[in-house]
Amino acid sequence: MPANPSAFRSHRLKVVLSLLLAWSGTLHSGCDRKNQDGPIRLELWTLALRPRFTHYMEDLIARFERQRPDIDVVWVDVPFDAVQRKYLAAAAARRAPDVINLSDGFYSRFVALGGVADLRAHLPGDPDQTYLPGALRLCRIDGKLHALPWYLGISVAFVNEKLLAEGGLSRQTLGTDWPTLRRQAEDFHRRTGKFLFCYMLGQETRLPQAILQQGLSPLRPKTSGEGLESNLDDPQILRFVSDWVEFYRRGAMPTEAAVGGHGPMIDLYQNGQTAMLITGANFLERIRDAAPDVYRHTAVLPAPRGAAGKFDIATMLLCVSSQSQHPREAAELAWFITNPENQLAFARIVNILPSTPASLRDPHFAFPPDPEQDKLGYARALSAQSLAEAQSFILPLAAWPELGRAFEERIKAALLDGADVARTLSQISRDWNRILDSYAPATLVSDPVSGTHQTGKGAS
Amino acid sequence: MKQGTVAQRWGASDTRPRFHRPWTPWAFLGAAVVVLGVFAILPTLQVVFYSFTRYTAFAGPDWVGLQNFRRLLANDRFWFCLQNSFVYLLVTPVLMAVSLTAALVVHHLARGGKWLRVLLFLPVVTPAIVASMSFRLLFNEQSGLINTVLTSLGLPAVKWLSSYPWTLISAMTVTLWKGFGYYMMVFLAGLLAVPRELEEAATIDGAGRLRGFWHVTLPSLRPVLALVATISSISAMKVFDELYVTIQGAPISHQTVVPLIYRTLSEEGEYGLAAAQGVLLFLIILALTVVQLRVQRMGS
Repeated sequence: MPANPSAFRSHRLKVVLSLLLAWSGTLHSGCDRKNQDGPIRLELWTLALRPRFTHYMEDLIARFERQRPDIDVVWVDVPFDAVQRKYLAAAAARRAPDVINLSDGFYSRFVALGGVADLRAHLPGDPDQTYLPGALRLCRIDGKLHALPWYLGISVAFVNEKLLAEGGLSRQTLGTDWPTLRRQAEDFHRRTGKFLFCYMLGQETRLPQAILQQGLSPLRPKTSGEGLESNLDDPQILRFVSDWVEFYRRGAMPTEAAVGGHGPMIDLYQNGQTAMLITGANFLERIRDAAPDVYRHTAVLPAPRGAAGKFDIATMLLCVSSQSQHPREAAELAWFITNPENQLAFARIVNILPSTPASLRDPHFAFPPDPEQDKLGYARALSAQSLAEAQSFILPLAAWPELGRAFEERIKAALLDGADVARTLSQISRDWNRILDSYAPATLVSDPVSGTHQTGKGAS
Repeated sequence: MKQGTVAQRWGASDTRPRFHRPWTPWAFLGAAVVVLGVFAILPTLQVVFYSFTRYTAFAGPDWVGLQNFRRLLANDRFWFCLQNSFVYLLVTPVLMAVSLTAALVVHHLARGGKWLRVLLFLPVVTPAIVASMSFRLLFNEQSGLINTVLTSLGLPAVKWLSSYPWTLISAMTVTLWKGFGYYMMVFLAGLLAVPRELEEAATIDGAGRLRGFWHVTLPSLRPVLALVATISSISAMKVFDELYVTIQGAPISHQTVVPLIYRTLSEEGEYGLAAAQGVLLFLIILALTVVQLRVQRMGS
C-alpha cells in the first residue's frame, strides 16, 4: 500500500483519464475524412434520386472520376423531407457532406447559419455565361455566390377533365386567374362535394410567394434607409390574403390546404378528390404510375399567373458545405453536375428543365406533334416555353425561410382557429421585423425583368 | 426471531463487512456508472451548458448567459406549447381510470382472462408511429371512419386534425389507447398483492363488491396509484410521437413542448435555444413530480 493513498488514487485517476483522452483523440482522427496519401474523398448528397436515377448518377460520377482521378466521390441519396435534419445533424457532428443538393425553399436558411461556402473563388468558369439569370439570381445572397442552379421546375396545371365535367367545367371554361378559379371552386364544391383545387396556404405556405407573384412586395425599405421591414400592412396585401383565407373558411378547399403541404396535395389529385393540380411538370410521371385512371383523363394547361404575369419557377441547387475540406474540388464537382451537357442528359430521362440556356436549345424541348398522345412531352414543352416568362418568387434573402416559417405559423391560426386576418398580418409583421433586425441589413432592388422587387446586396 | 445486522445474518462473528477491498464494489458498479455517466449524466450536463450558449450546427457554442431563456420566455409559442403540455396532463386521470378498470376486469374474469390481458396489452407493443398513423386515418376529416359514422348519425363532422382543441384530443386518444395496457399490467401486479384475507374479511362483514373495492382494494393500491400517476404524468409531459405523427401539419400552437424542442433543434437548427427549452421542461417536470409526491405522502 502506498504511503499516501489519496495521492495514489489521484495518480490512477490521471492515468485513466489520459488513456480515455488518448482513445477519444484516436477516434477523432479516425473520423477525419482528410486523406493525406490517397485520392481526395468528396461526399455528395442528392435529394430523392434513388432508385430511379441511380444509373444516371453513377454514370455521371464515374465520368467525373475519370476526368479527375485524384478525386473519389461518395454519393448519398437523402429523402427530401429529411435533408434539413440530416444536414444539420451531420454538420453538428462535423461530418457534413462536401456537396449538397438543396431546394430553393430552404437553402438560404443554411446561408443564414453559415453552412454553405461562397463559390466565387472556386469555380472553373463564369456562372453568368452558363446559367439562366432568373435561376442564378437566387444563388446570390449578400453579394456572395452560395449555390449553383441545377434543375428547374415550372408550375403547370394538370386537370382531370372527367372530374371537371362532373362540376360543369371544361378546360375551355376553366379560369386562368385566381379570382375566377376561386369562384368556380365554390360552385364546383357545391355541385360535386369534391374540390376544384388545393392551394398550400398553411403548411409549406405559398402565400408570401403569391404576394410577390401578384406584383406586391411583402417587404419594404426601412424609413431610416438601412435594411428592410414588413410591408404586410399594405391594404392590397391585406385584401389579397383575406380573399384566400375567407375562401378556405367557406370550405371550398380541403383541410390539406392548411395542414397538408405538397405531398398530400398530389395525393388528393391522384385520389380524385381534386380536379386540378398546380405543380411541376415532372409530377405527371408520378401520376401516370400511381393513378393511371386519373392520368388517362388528365390534360396539361399553363398554370394560373398572378397579376405580375409571371410563372413561378422552382429551383434545385447544388451547394458546397462550409465544412468541406476541399471546397475547390467540391465546387468543381457541382460545376460538372450542372454543366449544360449533363443537365440535358438528365432532362432527357425526367420531365425537368435544365438551368442552362445551352441545353434548352435542344429539340427535346419542342412541342410534340400530338399532345394527346404525348402528354409528358407536351408538359415538358409547355414548361420550357413558360421559362421565358418565369421567375423565382423566393427572395434571395438569408432571413427568407425564417420569415416564411413565421408567416406559416400565424396564418395557420387564421385558417384553423378563426383568428382575424388583419390582426394576424400585424402579428406576422411584428415577427418579421424582429427577424429582419437580427440579420445583416439587406436592400430592395427593382427587378429589371419583371418590375417586381427583389432583395439586393446586404449593406454589411 | 431476533433480527441482527447483515453481517451477523451472514454468519460473521463480528460486525466487520466481508469485503475488505474498497475497490470491489466499484468494480461491480463500474460498468453501470460508465454507461450512465457517458450516456445520461454527461449529455444532461452538456445540455445544461448548451442552454447558456448560442449554438448551431455550424457555429458555437458561444456563451450568451441567459439570452436563450429570455428569448424563450418572450416568445408566445413556448407559452402556448407549455399550456398544451399542462392540458395534456388531463390524459393521466382518464388513463388511470381506464387501466384500473381493465385490470379489475381481467383480474376477476374466471375464464379468458389471460387472452384478454394479451389483447389489451397489444397496443403497448404496437409502435407509436404505426398507432398514430392508423389513428390519423381514422380521424381523417373528409374520409375517416369516425367522421363517416358521425355524419351518418346526423352529427356534424369534427375537425380532428386541424381545429383546436380537437387536435390535442386526437393525440390524447392515441396516448390513451397506446398506454392503458401498460398501466393495466402495473395495476394487475398491485391487485395480486392485495391481501386475500382483507378482501375475505370485508365480504364476511357484509361489504358488497363496490364497498369492498372502495374500502379495501383501492387503499391497498395507493402506492401503485401514486406510481402510475407519477409515471404517466411525466410521460404526458414528454409526449412526442403521438403529436408529431397524428396531427402533423397542425400549428405549433396546437402542440406541446417536446415537439417544439424537436422543431427548434432539428428543423431550425438552434441547439442552444432547444437546450434551454429542454432545461425548462426538465425543471417543470421535476417541480411537478415533487409536488405530486408531497401531496400523495400527505394523503397517505
